[in-house]
Amino acid sequence: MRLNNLALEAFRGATQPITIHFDPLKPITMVFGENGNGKSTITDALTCLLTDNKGSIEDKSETEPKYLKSIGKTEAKITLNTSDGAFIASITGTARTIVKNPEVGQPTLKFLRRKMIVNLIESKASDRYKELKDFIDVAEIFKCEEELRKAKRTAESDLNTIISVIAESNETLERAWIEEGQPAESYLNWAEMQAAIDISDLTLEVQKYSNLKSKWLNILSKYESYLAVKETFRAAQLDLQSKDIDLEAAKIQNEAGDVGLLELLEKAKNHIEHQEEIDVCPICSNDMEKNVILESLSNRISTMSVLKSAYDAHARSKINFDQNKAILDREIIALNILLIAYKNLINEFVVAAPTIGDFISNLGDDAETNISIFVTNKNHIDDLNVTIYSNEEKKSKELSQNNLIVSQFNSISRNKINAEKLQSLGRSLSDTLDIVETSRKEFIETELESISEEVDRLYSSLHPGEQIGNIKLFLKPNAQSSLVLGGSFHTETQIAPQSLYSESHLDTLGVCIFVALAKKYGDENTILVLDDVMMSVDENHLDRFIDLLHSESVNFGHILVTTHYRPWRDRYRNNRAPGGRVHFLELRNWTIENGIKVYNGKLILEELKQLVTNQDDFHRENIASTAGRMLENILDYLTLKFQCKLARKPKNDYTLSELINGFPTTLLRVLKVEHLSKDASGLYTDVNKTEVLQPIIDKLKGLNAVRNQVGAHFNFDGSFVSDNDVLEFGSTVIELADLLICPDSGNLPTNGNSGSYWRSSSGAVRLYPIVSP
Amino acid sequence: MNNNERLAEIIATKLLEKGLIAENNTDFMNKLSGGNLKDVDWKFLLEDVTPLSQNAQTETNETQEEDETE
Repeated sequence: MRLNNLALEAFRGATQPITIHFDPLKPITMVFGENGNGKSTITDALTCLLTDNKGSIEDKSETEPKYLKSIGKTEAKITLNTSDGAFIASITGTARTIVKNPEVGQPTLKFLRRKMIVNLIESKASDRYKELKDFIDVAEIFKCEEELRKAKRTAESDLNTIISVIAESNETLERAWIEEGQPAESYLNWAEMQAAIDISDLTLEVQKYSNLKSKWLNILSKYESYLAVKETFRAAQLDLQSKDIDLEAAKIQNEAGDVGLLELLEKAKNHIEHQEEIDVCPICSNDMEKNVILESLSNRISTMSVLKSAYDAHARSKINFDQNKAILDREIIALNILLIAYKNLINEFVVAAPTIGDFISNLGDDAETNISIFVTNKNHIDDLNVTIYSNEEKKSKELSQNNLIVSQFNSISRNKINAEKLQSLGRSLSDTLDIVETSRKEFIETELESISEEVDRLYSSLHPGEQIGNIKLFLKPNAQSSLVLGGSFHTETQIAPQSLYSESHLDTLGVCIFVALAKKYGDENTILVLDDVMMSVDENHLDRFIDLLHSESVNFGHILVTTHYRPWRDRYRNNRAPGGRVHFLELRNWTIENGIKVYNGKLILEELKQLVTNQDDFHRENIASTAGRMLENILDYLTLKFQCKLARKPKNDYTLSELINGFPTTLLRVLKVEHLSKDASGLYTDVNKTEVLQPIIDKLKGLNAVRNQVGAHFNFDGSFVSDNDVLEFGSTVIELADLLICPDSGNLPTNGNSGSYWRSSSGAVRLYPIVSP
Repeated sequence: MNNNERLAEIIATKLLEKGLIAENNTDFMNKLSGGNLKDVDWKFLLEDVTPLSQNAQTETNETQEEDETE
């Protein structure tokens, strides 16, 4: 799979839409930019699109994912176009979730940020593993292992609870057994015997006594109620008698009156009042006047008011009397029913308690008589109830005791079975946990071991002959997930590298660990992102790191490197690194209005060629200056490679003239390059051009003043240098560069493994000799 | 096959050897590699299981008891 382009809309620093085109022929893309120009925006976009992570925003505390969207934008969009199709992510709202299309099947991305290296190196062993867990991902198994551990804990807790319950039941039974006078060999034997006893008769007895007690209490209650009702009735009866007397007295006082007449007059008045028009008497049919007749009626009724009042009071009293009479009758009937029923229930006790005989034999059909008999015999029945209550209490206690024993005995039997099951489950859970935990640790150990070898190989290639290495990664014994780093330092072995390694050595160790992990858990389609991981390393280590990256690039689909470390960028720009295999981009001038600006980075040789060939915009000073820098770069490389003797200077800041005159004659005579072409198997084996360098160097010796006079300083002499001389200086530098710089890998020959020449990374260029004669 | 699946396979093989899971254990492996075995699932899975080691121990004990009886 090859990357075509990455398009960003309103994502983080990409406030304006931008598309970054990848060169499908180059396995590495280097994005150089000073801080704040959008490097992390590009790597975060890939991280958000291709992983569950949200990128560098997660490295900081108290950050809000909504700022994955550019400020003021409602939706961000990331699109990665590849040879396998497009992968799109949309971010809206709070950005808690990122909507991806397709939802699954994205290319694998392994990313490394500087923060991760710092965490890996500086964290405690227990936290260190977290930095690697995305690579050695057994998180799902670990989740199940934690659940298994929980299951084991709860099973143990359940077992302990059951054991406590059994112990309590045993104690209860033993206490009861002792209270009963230890009637069998042991309390368990006794309990077992108790459990075997048929208690149906005892249960019936308890029910019988309870029923008798309940019925008697009902009778007493009903009797109390009857007495209260009877009292109320008597009051109503007395009141009615009093009202009778009052009415008779009123009648005597109103001789002319009669209650019947009073009623008639009131009815007549009421009738006439409610007629709208009436002029004929409804009784005698004589003419009449409504107002006159109503006044006459009111006068007559008024004169009979005392009688009327007595009459009304009597009527109310009579109603009250009737109501109370009915209630009393109902109470008598209800009490009588209870008495008759009770008589039948206690019949069986007449032999044991002969005093209740009268009550039983005299109770007949008349309810009121029956109540009298009850009242008369109540004391005898009370005596009987003392016995009944006592029996009820005794039998109930007996029954409760039996129930308690049986329930505790059954509880012990039942819980013993449960305890056995739980013990067995506990053993199985424990065995399973041992297997799961051991397997997980062994698995990770094996993985770490295999990674350790690769880490050590990569690390040794970065630090050859430095007496450091033997890097090992392993899990801390007796800890669940604690990662320990081990290494050697000169005479010390198996030490924690953090103790003795320098900061830059620890940095490169972190990078090696992550590259080894990405390699192991990635594939040929994996995208590896190194986000600003290299801070400050010296020239030699940087060259080795670049070599390492290029040699490892074959294991990945694509490597994206971002950096603000200018020496790294300049190694490519000046052909000191295989720039031909790197797509080189530069970010500059980010502003919130314009967003990220991407420029194609140029190698210095390309720049010089453009200047020399661009006749429309001929610029002699730029040609002289750029050619001079290019030539200094090549001469610096050659004089170092052949250890040429130059005058000693405090800062090694040699001039062009000092460098070009620094070659011994013996070297110049044999200095040559060979250009090779590929054979059928794709290897550079056939020499198709051999060129001796002395003529070009000699020519450049004659032209090097052009650089100082035209390209370095303002002086009068520079005006006398012809354009042709400037062009010839530029063209000759290009000629020398084209001979030395590999057309395939884009770097100068630096590999001296052959023992007789220096070779470029691809093998297309060879520089002779290997050492100065 | 990812790491979770590889490790699930290793664990399943060992559990099978110990008699802690049955032979047809695809469902178990899927749940294990997917992180979907809760504590209750483990208990359900193992509640009626008697590990082979326990069986062997039980048999040894029984044999010893018989020997002692003789």
